[in-house]
Amino acid sequence: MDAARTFLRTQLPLLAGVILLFPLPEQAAAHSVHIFAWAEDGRICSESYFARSSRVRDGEAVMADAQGRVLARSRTDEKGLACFPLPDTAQDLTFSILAGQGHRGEFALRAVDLAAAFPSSLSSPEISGEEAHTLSSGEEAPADTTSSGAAPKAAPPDAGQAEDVSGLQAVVRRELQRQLAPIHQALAEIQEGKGPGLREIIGGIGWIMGLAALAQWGVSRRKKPAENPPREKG
Amino acid sequence: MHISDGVLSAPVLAGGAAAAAASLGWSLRKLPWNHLMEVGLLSAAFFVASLVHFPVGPSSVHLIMNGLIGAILGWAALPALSVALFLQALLFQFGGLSTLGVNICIMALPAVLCGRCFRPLLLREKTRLPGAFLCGSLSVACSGLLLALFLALSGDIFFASAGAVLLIHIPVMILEGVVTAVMVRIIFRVAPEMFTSPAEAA
Repeated sequence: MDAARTFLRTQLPLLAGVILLFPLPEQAAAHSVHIFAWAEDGRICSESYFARSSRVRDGEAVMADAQGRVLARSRTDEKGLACFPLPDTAQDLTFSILAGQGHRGEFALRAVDLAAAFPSSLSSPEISGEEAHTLSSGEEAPADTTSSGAAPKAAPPDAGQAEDVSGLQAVVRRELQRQLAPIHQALAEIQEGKGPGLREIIGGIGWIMGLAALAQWGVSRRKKPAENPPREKG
Repeated sequence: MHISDGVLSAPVLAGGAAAAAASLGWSLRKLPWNHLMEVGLLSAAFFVASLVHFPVGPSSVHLIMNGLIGAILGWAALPALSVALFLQALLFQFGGLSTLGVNICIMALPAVLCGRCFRPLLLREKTRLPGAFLCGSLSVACSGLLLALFLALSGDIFFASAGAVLLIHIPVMILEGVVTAVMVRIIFRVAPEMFTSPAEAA
């Protein structure tokens, strides 16, 4: 009983301190810097933040290719946004944010997520295979059946029709890209994570206390025989 | 205050890791084996203190509490902060695993240094509160200088980085000083033996 009282007396201030300092989950993303990027309106934009309420302002955002070659640099604005021009081809890109004082975050944008932003994406190697074939055959098939069902491959479509189709495709692609931008942004945000939550905080405290208790137990086990020698019989 | 992966050069990372390992090895010899739960509790306090942040200018700063931990634990602050920093890197992505050694040097060495320097002041009633304030705020200042030094070794200009780091941490230094003084006062009132025993054992 005395031991429990002493323990409470000595540990209570510290426990109170830990609880007082215990932050709300939404506060909990101080010093991991996050960046995520998405394609919109013929450019790639990135957003960088320490926490939801704390954007990285005037940080250096860097766009690099898969080999680490820097393609473009930009500085974040008040909202943590920094935009870059599209690279020449749809390729895997890495975005990093240098927020000063050794803070750095990184985000990888895959070529697949980027391909739709390119005007020539249908002929680009990343999606020129099955997807392009399905799209073109899907669009052209009804036209073939209505015009001349007997000889579908005999007459190639004339130049004017091809131009119309490609123009229409470009318009649809642009519109889709515009409408999908917020979804891409939300997906990138989910992928990047929202910083530590309650689970990580409690888990971390549990790990620390568990390790300390384990070490203390080990010490007490080692000391016991010396401190309390076994009584002699008789 | 946590340096992320990919910021420092390889020799600086290796140097930081070696310095952290050496000081950690030394501190383990001085660990107060009968007071490991106190060490664990203070480690947990440091672990969560870094989550309390507030925006300052273009950046964001957080409580560190290394001065208080250094004053209570002495050399034992090194393993306490190392475990907390490791878990912060692992669970919160605060700093990186490759920069763990450097981050241990930045946060834990000033804790031990300031803790040992200001301890005599804390043990005397008259100088306790100013001593605790100085211990809390100067350990943050020392950490800032070490941070700037590590950044400078990897190519940043020392005086520019140091100036920026110290400027942004002035509110933290004041806050840390006040929080340390309040905590020291509470601990001396409620359980003075807790304050004295672990560090004396170390």
